[in-house]
Amino acid sequence: MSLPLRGQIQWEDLAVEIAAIGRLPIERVVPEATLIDDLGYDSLAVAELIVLLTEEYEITTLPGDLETRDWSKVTVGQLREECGGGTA
Amino acid sequence: MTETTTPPAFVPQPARIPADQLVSDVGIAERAAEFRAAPLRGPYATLRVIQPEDYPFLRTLETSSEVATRWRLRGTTPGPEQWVQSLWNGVMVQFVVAETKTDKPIGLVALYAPNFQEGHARLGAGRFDLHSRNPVMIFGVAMFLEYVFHGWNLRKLYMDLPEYNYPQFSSGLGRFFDIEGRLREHTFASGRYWDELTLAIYRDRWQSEGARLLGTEASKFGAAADATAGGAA
Repeated sequence: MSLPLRGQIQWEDLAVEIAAIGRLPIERVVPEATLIDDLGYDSLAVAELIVLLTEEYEITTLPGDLETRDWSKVTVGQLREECGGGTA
Repeated sequence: MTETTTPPAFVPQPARIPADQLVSDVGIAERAAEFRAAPLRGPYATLRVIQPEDYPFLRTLETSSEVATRWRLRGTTPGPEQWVQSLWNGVMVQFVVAETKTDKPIGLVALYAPNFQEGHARLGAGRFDLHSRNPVMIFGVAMFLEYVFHGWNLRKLYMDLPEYNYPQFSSGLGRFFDIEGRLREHTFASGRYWDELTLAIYRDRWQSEGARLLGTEASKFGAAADATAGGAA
C-alpha cells in the first residue's frame, strides 16, 4: 500500500471526509454529485471541507479561487481531480 | 528660660520588606510572551471596522435589496440618521467582513446586548449576497467568534434568527451550536409566519470544535501578522 503524496488525497479518504462533514452515507458520495445540490452541503460544510483538505492533507491548490468559484457547481469528482487523488 | 530644640528632619527610610514577602516577577516575562491578539485578517476573510464612508453603501444594501426583508430592518426604511443609530444600538463590537484578496465587503458581524454578569451576549451575522455559497463569510464569522471569545470572558453567545435563514449553516447543529429556543410562528415575512430560533454557541465547544475553522485563518497568519489590527500594545 502506498501512502498519498503530500498535496494528494486518495479517493477513499476524500469520500470518507465528505460523508463525515455532510453526515451522509458514504454511498451518496459519488464523483458526479455536486456538493451543494446533491449532497446538501451548506457554506459552513464547504468551509469545513476546505480547512480539512488544506490543513490535514496540505492541498494547496484548492483555496486559489475560493472567492470567485461557483460552489453550487463543484462536484466531488472535480475536487478529487484538484486534490490529485487516486481513482475511485 | 526654656530651651527650644529643633525636631530632627524626617528622613524617609527605605522600606524593609522581608525578602520572603517581596512580590516576585519570576515568570512574568514568560507569561507576557504568551499574549496573543486574535487576528482580524486571514487568507480569505478580513474584519474591518465600519467607517462613516461605509454608511451609504450599507444603508442602501439594507433597505433596497433582498437583504432588506431578511435582515434586522425587516423591510422598513428608516431615515439616514435613524438608520445609523439602529446600526450601533446596543452594539459592543461590529465589523464589515471583506474578502482579503479583493477587499470586497461581503457581510457584517456584530456582538450586541452583552451581559457580563451572566456571561452571554448576542451575535449577529449576515452576508450581503444571500444566494452565495461562498464560504468566505464563514471564515469571517469564525474569526469574529475567536476575537470575541479571546477578548471577553463570555461563556456563550446567542444568535436569533428566523427559520428561513437557518439552512445557510444548519450543518453546524450539535457541533458548533445548539438550538436552545424556538418561538413558534413568531416572525411574519414573505406572506406567512415563521419560527424564530435562538442558537447558542458555547465558548468551550467553540474552542474544542469550532476553532478548527480557523485552521488556515489563524495558524498561518496569527497574531504576529496582525498585531496592529488585533490591538496588541
